[in-house]
Order: sequence, then structure tokens, then C-alpha cells
Amino acid sequence: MLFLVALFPLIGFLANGLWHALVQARSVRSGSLIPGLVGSAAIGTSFLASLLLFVRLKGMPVGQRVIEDVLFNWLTIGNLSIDVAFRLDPLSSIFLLFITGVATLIHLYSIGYMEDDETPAKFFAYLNLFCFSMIVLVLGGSLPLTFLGWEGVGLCSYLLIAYWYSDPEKASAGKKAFIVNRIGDVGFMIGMFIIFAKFGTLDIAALRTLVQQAQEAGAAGIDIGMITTVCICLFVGCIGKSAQIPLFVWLPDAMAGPTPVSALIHAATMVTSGVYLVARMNFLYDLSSTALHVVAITGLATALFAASIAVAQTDIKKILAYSTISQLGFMFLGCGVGAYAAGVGHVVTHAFFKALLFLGAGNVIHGMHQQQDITKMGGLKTKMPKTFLAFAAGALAISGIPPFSGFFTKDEIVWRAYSSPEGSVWFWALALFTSVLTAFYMTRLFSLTFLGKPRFQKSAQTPGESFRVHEAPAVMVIPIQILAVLSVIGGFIAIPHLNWLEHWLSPVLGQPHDAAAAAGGSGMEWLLMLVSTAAAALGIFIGLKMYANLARVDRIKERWDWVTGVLRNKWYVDEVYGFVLIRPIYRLSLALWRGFDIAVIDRAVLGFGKATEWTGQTARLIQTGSIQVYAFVILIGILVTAGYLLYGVA
Amino acid sequence: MNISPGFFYVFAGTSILFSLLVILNRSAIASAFSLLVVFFSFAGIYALLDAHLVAALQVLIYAGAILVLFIFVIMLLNVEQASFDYKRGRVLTGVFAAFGAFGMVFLLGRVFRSASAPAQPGPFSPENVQAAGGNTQVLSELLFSEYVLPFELTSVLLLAAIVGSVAIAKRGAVEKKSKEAK
Amino acid sequence: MNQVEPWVVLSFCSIIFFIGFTGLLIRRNVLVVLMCIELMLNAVNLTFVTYAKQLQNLGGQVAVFFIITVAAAETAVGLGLVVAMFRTLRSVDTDQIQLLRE
Repeated sequence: MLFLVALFPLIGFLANGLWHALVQARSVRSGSLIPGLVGSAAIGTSFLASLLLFVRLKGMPVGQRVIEDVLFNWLTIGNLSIDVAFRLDPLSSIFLLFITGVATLIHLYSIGYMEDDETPAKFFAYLNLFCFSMIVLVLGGSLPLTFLGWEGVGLCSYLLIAYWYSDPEKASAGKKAFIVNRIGDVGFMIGMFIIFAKFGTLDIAALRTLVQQAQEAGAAGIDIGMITTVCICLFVGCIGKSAQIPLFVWLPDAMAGPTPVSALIHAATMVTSGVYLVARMNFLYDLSSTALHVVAITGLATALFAASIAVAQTDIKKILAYSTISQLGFMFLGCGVGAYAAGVGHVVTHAFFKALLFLGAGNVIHGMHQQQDITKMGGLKTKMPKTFLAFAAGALAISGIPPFSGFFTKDEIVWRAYSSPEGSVWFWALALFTSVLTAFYMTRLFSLTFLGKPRFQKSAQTPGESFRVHEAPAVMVIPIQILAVLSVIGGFIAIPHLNWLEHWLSPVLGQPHDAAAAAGGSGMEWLLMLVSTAAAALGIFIGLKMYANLARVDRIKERWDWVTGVLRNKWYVDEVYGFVLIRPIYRLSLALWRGFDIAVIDRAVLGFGKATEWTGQTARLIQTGSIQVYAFVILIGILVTAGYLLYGVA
Repeated sequence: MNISPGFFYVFAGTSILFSLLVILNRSAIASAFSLLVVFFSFAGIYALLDAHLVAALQVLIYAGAILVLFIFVIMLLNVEQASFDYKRGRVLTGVFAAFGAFGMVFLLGRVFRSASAPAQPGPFSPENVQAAGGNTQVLSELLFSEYVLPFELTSVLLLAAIVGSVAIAKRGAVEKKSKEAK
Repeated sequence: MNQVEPWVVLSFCSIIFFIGFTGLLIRRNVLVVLMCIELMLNAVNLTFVTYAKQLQNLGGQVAVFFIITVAAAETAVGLGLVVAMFRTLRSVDTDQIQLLRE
């Protein structure tokens, strides 16, 4: 039964894929409606199935909330036996719900966004394939199966980022995404190898049992060093997939893909698989403080770093991209201080408001006729009112203003950063500062795009053509509005002290430490909550005030140009990578190619051919065509043979 | 073997001398005539060896038909006297072949010398042959009794040779083809 | 004194045979080459006859009978070929009949 959830998008992929390969490739312009409906129906059915499964899971007693579906044995080599087994437990059911739900909305949105595209069936086929891979990732009962989904989403990410591959820049972005992801995947694989070597199995439930048994048998029996190594290796995979430092460089470039892709893959689903992995393997991470610290510090550093860059960007999608990186950092911070449920909570709410923000940006881009530079926007409040309202909801959610969803989950992380035994005041302080930055740059984005006076009539347009900005069609507005509602009320599943989400996830993620007692009582908690709210409000206030007066902004920018320059150029990370890593590797490859591949291997291979040719040419000289020469050879033969045979006789 | 050494050595010497002339002569017709002398000497040796029919056939067919055919063709084609026979490659080949021939003959001589006579000679001793009517009679009887199959096959072979040589040497077919080739 | 050992005759045959072989190798005139072939055949005939006498078995002479016949047929056909070749090449030089080269 479980596998049906994965099967529907796979069928959608095949249907749309075949349609594309057989029909559309012969350039039959058929529009995006039918492929889109097929794709949306596929993933929508998955969503319904997820709901049903969730309800079923809820009806089961707490300790036994697992639905398993073993399909077949994938491979058995020696001691290694991997089954294709899907396992649904509270954690994966939550992921499954928001993945399929948000994906359905984005599919519907794409019907409108891609209506002028030449190959919509291909697009929806890829989207469905992506959903299939993501579902496999989340439902995978063993690490290899999850890894299969992991690679699958990486592949689909590449296919979709480079969707308009005739533009070399977009194709490069796809390549960059795939390659950087792959670097992270090496870590994942090494982690799997070590796990198999030490534990003998890669099945997650089995691993959990083994670790529990080892814990009960006594802490001395566990090799913490090995566990730390495994955790860090797996986390390297997460760094690649979820765009943390130092492997985040692909995500901003990935904005070259169509906006629905950015919304689905790079906001709501694929990038959260890293968080899923850490949460899933929490029983390992709990054993190693070192690993948890690595996760937390990486997450925090990334959050701060990315937020600083977002402050200075001018492309609407790039701002949202860096915002995603920053929020992912928050999620890892949450996991890194032991509060996995807090991290997962933020994953869910982030999916809602980030998808909303991206789709809203899509509406803006669509309405502004492919313009993405916010310095050339402004005043869209009146031109695109529905988008404006929804976007506002998303911005407030991400800034962390109660009672929007982002507040509850982000605040939970911040609180846990302060109060958890793995956390510290510094974590809290830096996280708080990052929240201020988040509010600030979101407000900046919002203000420059929707508020103030329009700046785009000044930009050169085709003479005679009126540059009319219009609201998006209904099919693109309604999904946003649904997401806006979710962004508002979605946080209520994680209200502190009534935290339904935490309790739901506790069989998998463990009970959180009773933080209130440890860190100064519940009074502290409420106080810090107020501080968080105040911080968010401060960020918004500064943003609004500053960007109401654009001339002053320009003056400030000029004065602090050396700072804004660094931020605008993303701290020159890509350039540093290029110089330190890419150029030497390229030079080395070139040298190897010339010095070894051509000089040695090619010579050897061609040498064989030449030797054979030479032998043939030499041998053909025997064929002189003159019978007297042949007779001479016969004579020699006679002499030799007779001499040899008759010598003894004579 | 009970033959006259004098005659034998005379015939043998003549044969060797003239066969050397065959291979060393410049003009083809001279070679042909030297070959004729060789054939006659051989016939003599056959006669010495009591192979009377063979001796007669040697003269009749070899000297009388084959050699005549050679001479016809030589005169028909009117081949120019080749002064180009002696090329360096051929001389070297000849020298080598001569040495090889010497070696082989020497070797074979020793082999023949060491071979012993068979224990039981066959039924055709000279006396028996004489008694049965002479060499020709006995040979003919053999041909038509024991060896009649090869005999008949040989006649088929002769037929094939006739047809073949006519077909190959016919003027019309060859010239048409050579004209088309041009 | 009335004896000639068989091996003498046989050695004589091999001398003639190799003289013919040498001629086959060194002559450029096709007709002379054919004549050398006849020489070789004759040497073989004599070998047969010698053995027929030594072993007192007339089978050797029968063989000679057939060899002579076949030699005649072969000469006829061979000379026909020479004539045909002469018509195309206008010469009887063995160096010019190397179409089967390589």
C-alpha cells in the first residue's frame, strides 16, 4: 500500500515522458494544460494517499506507529542484503504530507507559469520524477534506498535547473548543482560504508535497535570516535544537498531554473532532505556531542553568512535563495542542539512560506515580463494586490512575527539554542542577530518590490508598446493564497508547551530535554520569546524606515561601499573556489591529458595498430607473383626438410 | 644390375652434358635441340634397363611430339634472343641453387647407397619376361588387366587436354577479350 | 665389370633432376622453363624404370607410361597458354607474368 504513494508520480512521469518523447518532440504545440493536469493529478493522488496513511498511523497505538511495505530484495552480496522496503513512521509521514501537498500546489501553479513553454510535458515529467525520488528518499527503510532517492532528486534538480539548456549559463548552473551535490554525496557514501563495516546492516530500524542495545549494554562498548566520523560523513552529504557552508554555492546559481522549480526543489523539498537525514539518524547523533556541535556550528555560520549576503542582492530570486540557505542553517542549528523536532518543525513551516515567497516572486516576474531586478520594480502593491497580500503573509512568517507560522518554529529553535545542554548563549545571540537580518532583508525585498513608487517606467521598453504590469492568472494566484493561509496557521502545530508536532515525532526523535527547568524556568522562555518578537519587529522597522527613502539608501551605500561590495559579491566565495580549486584541477587535468592520455595511452594503442600494419606490409612482400621465386622457396624447403630427415640415414 | 657400364656411362655423360646445355644456352632453339639429345640418351638408357616399350615411347612421344611442339611454338612466336637473361638476382639464385643441388645430390647418393636390396624380388625377372613374350607384350597385358582404370582415365585426361588447349589458344576468344581490355 | 650399382643410376637421375630445377629457377624464357620441367619429368621416369629393373616389378614401367602421357597433355596445354600469353604481352618473359603479385 505504501508504495502506491511513490507509484503515482512515477506513472505521471512515464505518461508525460512518453507523451513528450513520442508526440511533443515532433513540435506539436499543445499547451501546458493536459500535461499539467496529468502531473498534478499524479502528485495530488499521492497527497491524498499520504493523508489516508497519516490518519491510519494516527489510529495506531503510540509505540507501534510504523507501516512497512517490503517490495522485493534489491540485492544480496555476501553479508550485504538490501531490500526495497518503504517504512512510514511519524517523521516520514510529516515529511510526506508537506512534500506531496506543496508539490501539488506547485504543479497547479506551473500550469499557468509554463503555459508558453515549448515542451511542457517534459517539464511535468521531470517534476513528477522529482517527486517520486523525494518520496523514495523519505520513505526509504534503509540507507541505500534513501540514497537512491537522494541521487534521484539530485538528478532531477540538474534536469530542471538546466531546463532551458540552450542558454549556456543555465546549463552551467545545472552542472554546478549536480557536481557540488556529488561532492557531498561522497561523504554520504563513506558514512554508509563505515556503518556497514561496523554494524553489518544498512537498514535504519535495524541500526536503531543495534545502537539501543549497545547503549543498554554499557556506554563503554560504543566506539564514539567511529560514530562521530560516521555522523560527520553523513553530514557532509547534508552540506551538499542542503547547501551549507562550504557547499552552498550551487543554490544561488540554481535560480536559473524556472521559478516553480526553485519553489519546489530549492525551497520546500530537496534541500530539506539533509535535515531529514540528520533527524532520521538522530540516534547516532545523540551519541556524539562533537558531531552535534559540528552540525550546529555549521548551521549557525551558514545562517549568518547567507543572511549577510541576502542583504545586498538585487535579484528577487537570489535574495530568496540566500534566504533559503540561511533558514536551512537554522534548521541544522536546531538539530545540532539536540532539538530535532524543532528543526523538523521549521522545515514544515519553511516549506509553506518559502514556497509561497518563491511562487509570489514568480508572479512578479511573470507580471513584470521576466524582469527580476528589484531595483527596477516598486509600487506593485496596486498592480498585483492578491500577490501583494500573500507575499506579505510570507514575509511576516519568515521574519518571525507571531502568530505567523515562522515565529513558532524559529523561536523554538532559538529557545533550544539557548536552553539545550548542547546549546550556548552564543548560539542564541548569533541566531537572534540572524533573525534581525532576516527580517531586515525580507522587508527590504518587500519594500523595493511592492511599496513606494514604480521605478520601471523609466526602464527602456520597446517604443510603442505599453508596459502593462498585470496580476497573475487565477491558476497562479490560488495556490499562493492557499500557501498564505498555511503560512499563517501552520505554526499552530508547534505551539510551545502544547507542542503537538513534538509529541507526534517523539517515538522517532526522542523526548526533548526538559529545557525549561535547566535554563532558568519557563519565565526565561517567555522572556526570550518576547525578545525574539522584538528583534523581528526591529528588523522590519529598520527595513521600512530605510527603504522609504531611497536617496538616503544610496548615500549610505556609497559611504559603506567596501562593505556592501563584499556582500553583494557573495564574499567572493565563487572566485576563491575558482582560484584555489578549480583552476589547479583544470590545469592538472590538462597536463594529465596531454602528458599521459595522449602521449602514452594513445601512442600505445595506435602503436599496436601500426605494428600490425607494419607486419602485414612486410609479410605481403612474400607474394611476388613470380613462380620462380616460389620455386626457389620450395627448393629451400626441400633442402631443409631432406637435410633434416635424411642426415641420419646418410 | 646387369647392364653394360660402358654404354651406360656414355649415355649418362651425354645426358648430363646436354642437359647443362639446355639450361645454360642463350637461344631457346638451341636449348630445344640439346633437349632432343638428352631424350635420345635417355631412350638409350631405358633400353639398357630392359624397358623397351618405354624407350620407344620416349622417342616417339617426347622427342617426336612434345619437342616438335616446342620447336613449333618457338619458331611461331619468333622470340628474340634474350640477351637479358643474366641478371644479378638470377645469377645469385643460380649459384645458390647449384650449391643446393650439389648438396642434395650428395645426400641422395649416400641415401641410395645405403639402401639395401629387397629380400624378395618381384615376378618380372628378365627370363620370365622373355618367356612371356617380351617386354612389350607383358606390359600391354598389364595395362589392360591390372591398370586398365588409369588407362581409361588417361584417355579422359587427354580429351580434356585437347579441348582445353584449343579453347585457350583459339585466336578469336582471346583477341576479343584483349580488345575489350584496351 | 658388367655391373652398375643401382645407386649410381639413381644418383644420375637426381643430378638430372636438380639440373632441371636449377634451370627452372634461373631462366627468364618461359619456353625454356617448360623444357626444364620436361627434364625433371624425365629424371623421375628414369628413377621409376630403375626401380622396376631392380625390384623386377613392371609397375614402374607402367607408371612411366602414364607419366609420359600426362606430360604430353600438359605440354600441349602449357604451350597453348604460352601462345595466349604472347598474344597479350607480346613477350615470353617470366618477369612480366606477375599479376598475382601481393
